[in-house]
Amino acid sequence: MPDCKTLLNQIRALDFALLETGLYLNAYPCEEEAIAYFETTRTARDAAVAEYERHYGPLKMASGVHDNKWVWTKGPWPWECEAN
Amino acid sequence: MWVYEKKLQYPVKIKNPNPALAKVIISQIGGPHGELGAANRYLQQRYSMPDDRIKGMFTDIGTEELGHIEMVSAIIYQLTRCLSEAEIKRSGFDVYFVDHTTGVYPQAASGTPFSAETFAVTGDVFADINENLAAEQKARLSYDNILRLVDDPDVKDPIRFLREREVVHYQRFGDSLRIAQECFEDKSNFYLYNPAFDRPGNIRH
Repeated sequence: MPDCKTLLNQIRALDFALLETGLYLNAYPCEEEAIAYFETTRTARDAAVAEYERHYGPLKMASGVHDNKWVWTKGPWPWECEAN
Repeated sequence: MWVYEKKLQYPVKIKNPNPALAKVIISQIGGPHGELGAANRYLQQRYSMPDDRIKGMFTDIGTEELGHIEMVSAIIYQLTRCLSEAEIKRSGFDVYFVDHTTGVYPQAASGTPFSAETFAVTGDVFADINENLAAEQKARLSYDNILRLVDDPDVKDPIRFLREREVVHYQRFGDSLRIAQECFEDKSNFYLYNPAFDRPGNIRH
């Protein structure tokens, strides 16, 4: 089980790959290799986010409840050193 | 509609505060080539775009730029934490501090407040796309100039990431220009009319 920052960096890397491929697909929507890569990456991303939110806290407000408690606002927030 | 994700696109972790650097880098929030102008320019221009692929491109690049405002703001926030009054005076940060303390106010390095003129929404498809191609190059050169002035590797690292994104966005706006040109029946004159407003039959020249 990776620590909080390692897992967050894995999610960042997967999000980066999705964004790059998504922008490319906006212009070249019929590229089958890019579509397959996007889908594989998205599956890995969904799994990494689920694991992160289960252990380290919500990335989205919709995941803000944990053990019947509101944990969405718990810091550090992204612009603070400790979050990175 | 937008949904916030509680993470920076790329990490910002600056060990040593440096208010003199913050004074320069703040231009990439509120300056003429900054991220605040970029994000809102693309998101406000998209309503005139003639093709679904370009609407998607402007939406997604504009959204990424919102994340870049947050990254540059995090850099400013971390460079200006725990300052002493002596440091504020010595660094020249005092001229900013007097009005904004260590809040993150959108202004150029010169002190000029952010101007909505940077949004540059013309409602003309080719004018707007060409504006954006130039804007990505201008943002890239501002990051290049910042890299000339910065020694701290903690600051250089996220600035280099942001610089690279300008290069990729330039590429994707180039694709958008090509797509817009393909929308025209008359391939010999792409600029005969503005597809967001005119129809070929009602042009007056």
